[in-house]
Amino acid sequence: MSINTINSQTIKEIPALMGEVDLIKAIQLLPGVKFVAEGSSGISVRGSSPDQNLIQLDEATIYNAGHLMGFFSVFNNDAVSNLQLYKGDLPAEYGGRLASLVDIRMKEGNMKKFHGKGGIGLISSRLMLEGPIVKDKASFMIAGRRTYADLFLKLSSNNTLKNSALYFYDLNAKINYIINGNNHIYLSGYFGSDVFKGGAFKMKWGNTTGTLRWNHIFNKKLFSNFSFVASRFNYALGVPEGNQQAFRWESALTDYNLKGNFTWFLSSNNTLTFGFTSIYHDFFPGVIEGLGENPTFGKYELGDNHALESAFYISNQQTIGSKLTLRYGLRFSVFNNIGPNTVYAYNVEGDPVDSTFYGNNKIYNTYFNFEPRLGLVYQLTETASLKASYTRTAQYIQQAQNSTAGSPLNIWFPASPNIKPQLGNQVSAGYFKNFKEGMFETSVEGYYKTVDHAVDFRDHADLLLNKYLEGEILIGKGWGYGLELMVKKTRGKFTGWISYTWSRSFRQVDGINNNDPYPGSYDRPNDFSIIVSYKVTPTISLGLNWVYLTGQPVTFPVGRYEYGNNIVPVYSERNSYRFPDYHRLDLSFTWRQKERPGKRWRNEINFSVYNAYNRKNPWVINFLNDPDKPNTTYAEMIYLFGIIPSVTYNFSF
Amino acid sequence: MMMKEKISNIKIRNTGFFKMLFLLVPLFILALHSCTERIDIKTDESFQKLAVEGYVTAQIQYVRLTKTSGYFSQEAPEPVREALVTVSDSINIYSFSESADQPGYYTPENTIPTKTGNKYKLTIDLKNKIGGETHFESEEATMPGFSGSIDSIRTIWRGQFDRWIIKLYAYEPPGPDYYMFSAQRNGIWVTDSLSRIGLTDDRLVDGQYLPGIYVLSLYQDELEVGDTVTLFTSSITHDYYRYLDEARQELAPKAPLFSGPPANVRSNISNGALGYFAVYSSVATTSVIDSSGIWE
Repeated sequence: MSINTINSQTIKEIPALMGEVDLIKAIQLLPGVKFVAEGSSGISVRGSSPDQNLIQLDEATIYNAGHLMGFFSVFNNDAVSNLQLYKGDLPAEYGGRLASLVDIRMKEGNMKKFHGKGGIGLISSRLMLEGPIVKDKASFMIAGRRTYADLFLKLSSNNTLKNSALYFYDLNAKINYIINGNNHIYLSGYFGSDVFKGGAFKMKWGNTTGTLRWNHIFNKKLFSNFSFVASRFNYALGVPEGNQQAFRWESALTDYNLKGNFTWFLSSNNTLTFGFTSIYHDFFPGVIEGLGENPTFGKYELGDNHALESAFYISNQQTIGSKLTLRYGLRFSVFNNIGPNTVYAYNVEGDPVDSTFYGNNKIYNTYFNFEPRLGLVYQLTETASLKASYTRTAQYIQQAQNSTAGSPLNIWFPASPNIKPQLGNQVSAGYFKNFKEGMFETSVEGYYKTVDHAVDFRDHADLLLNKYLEGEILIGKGWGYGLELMVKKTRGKFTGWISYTWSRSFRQVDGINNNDPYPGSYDRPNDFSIIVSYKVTPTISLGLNWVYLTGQPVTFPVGRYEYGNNIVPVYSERNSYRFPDYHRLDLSFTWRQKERPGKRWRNEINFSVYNAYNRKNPWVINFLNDPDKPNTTYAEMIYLFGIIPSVTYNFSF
Repeated sequence: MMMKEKISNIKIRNTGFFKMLFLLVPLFILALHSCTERIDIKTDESFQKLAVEGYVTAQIQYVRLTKTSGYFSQEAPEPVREALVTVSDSINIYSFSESADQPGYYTPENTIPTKTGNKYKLTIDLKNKIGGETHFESEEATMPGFSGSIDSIRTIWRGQFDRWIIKLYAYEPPGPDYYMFSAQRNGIWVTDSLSRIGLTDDRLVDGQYLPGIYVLSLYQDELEVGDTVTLFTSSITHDYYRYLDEARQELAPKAPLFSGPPANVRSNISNGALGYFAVYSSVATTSVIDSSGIWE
């Protein structure tokens, strides 16, 4: 129910922006999932905000899934084996986010043979190697990527651009070791970084993760997995010492997570899953400090903030007769704020009026929630089934982000005495039917969801480096509903899917829009995608995708007045207008060399065109004063991409 | 594919001490990939309210009343005439009279004394209703004062930004303070609009000596060596700071990466009127541009 699985081969066949195969962009083509802005690797699932998605790579949370301001995701497709998307209906094992779980697993190295693949594209090159360390016992996989788009900056006639750099690189590695039939160890890690330089100014950000997993089989009936996972997202920017206005600005979020998960095959009809998870969060919202002998400003530091997010869960999957399968479980989640920290009390305007200091290691605030997870599958015939589910989830940490697309300057903040955890409820039901022995898979699914204590921000909120961030937060509620249709063809010359989603999402927050409900930022009622791959010959295939979305809801100016020789806009109700509808066609052509006896090396060339008919989809619409005509205002849209052709050479051995 | 002029929109001139720095980033991205195009947008034109622009400072004292118009009306604002305008401090009430040659502009019949700590309030009574109302009042505003001390200013040319930069050397007093910076060249205003003034809080410099921080920037053709530059350091209230900051956020182009949703700018006038009645005090500091600053 509400689950989609995609493997890396399918992802590879979808035409991609600048030829960069991207699994987050592939997810955006699934029913119920939308991009948050053109070209962005942020996702909105069933109308959610992007921070309500739990994106995990080998169980490690990825706090910022975007490279190059979000235009590319941090996931190197060559290093990924598959991904599963749970749209709100999370298994009891998972929690902490309201909208979805994107569970991405890194590829495990081949236990028998050494293999590799790689590619050279317009903006990046990559290489993945895998093979046995000890045959049939231990293997490795290592993959790296580096972009070189910034080399083109050197060709620019603009001096500022010429002296700039903008690139990312990342590295994935995984080792897996079979100790014996009952014990299996996996060690994996990801390291990625983006770098931007403009003159003396430099900015760096990235994720680092590490996962150690021990898979232990107690006996034929009891399996277990224990994991220790660390994850860190940080950014640093500044102008180094020795320059004018030298400063540094740093911020980070670090998690340590311990997990134990057990699967007990109680009987042929009952499979019990239970376990625990505990995450220690270390939020470091930031410091800014002037550098040098005569710094132009002093030091402004926001202290670390610590929290423990834990859960115990138990869930049973029970088959009753030959037709009915039930899944019922309960997750009990606990959240502790841990000192040292200063907690401010705020008045209704959000100004601090009092403060309380809590000492070292003191647990000064605790929240807990019971999160039931229920599901049923009723097999109508061999090829048709009805499914239904109810899920309640709690979210204890969220992002201070007011914009639609999001920047690398991420700040995550925890629930606290001032901020209650966000609570989500979702009911969904669907009908699933396969035709022609599984060649066609079809589904219809409907959902209704609510969010209590939804976090929003005051008008003109100041979210960066603000000691009084919690004063900028307003609490309200959200709700949404939708219908998702999908037809998928899994075999034959033509493969692919067509999906259509009709959905709405709303919010009501006291202090925003005169306390009236308004459409959420990701409310796009009609969403249609068609993704087709056509194998012309065994060596040539063509790809096509076309997407259509209702325009993004926006707030436009309806009036104006003069102040200080400027025209100040007066706005409509929140999100009461829309951008023009979004649509785009992408095409690809792939030639892949035949398998040749005795030769492992295979070449592949891919040509792709993004936005083939050059649709100008607005990224933003600005309302501006005409500098040459004092009383004249005009609307100007910025669109990001015209037709973007690209070519990529790939190889494998 | 290149986008016109986005780089020149880097607003080093107006933003806080550090906000400006990260604005660079999306602009670079935009410069690489994006294009701009004017488009037609139809919005509701029926909106109408009273708009107020009022000042009581040692240098300027006037109130301007206009009607708001549809966003794309493309005409000068319609003045509101024949209103009864008064400002009270805690002791006296000062009557304003409408200027004969500038309709909608009202000035006090007697100069209003400005003193730190005095409380001022604006009252407006209209002849005809606007937005269903005839009576409007501002919130009471306390005249702020500057308790630090200014050493000097220096104006230098920064080729890197293609701008003249005014640097301030001063003691910033402890406690939260809010500043507006504006400048004159040889006695004539150069920062003649909201988008040209400098605006900052003292979050990063509270209670410190300011060793020549950048407070204002001006275009190349606005100054030359030998000019006398006067910097006005104005202490403003927290609420007026927020008003100016919000207005400037709404005047600046937005980018989905950083900008929050558009939102109306606050007002300190009652009954649905827009705009602001501001009281503040300014310190003027003067220096002559010498050629030594050009090479920095």
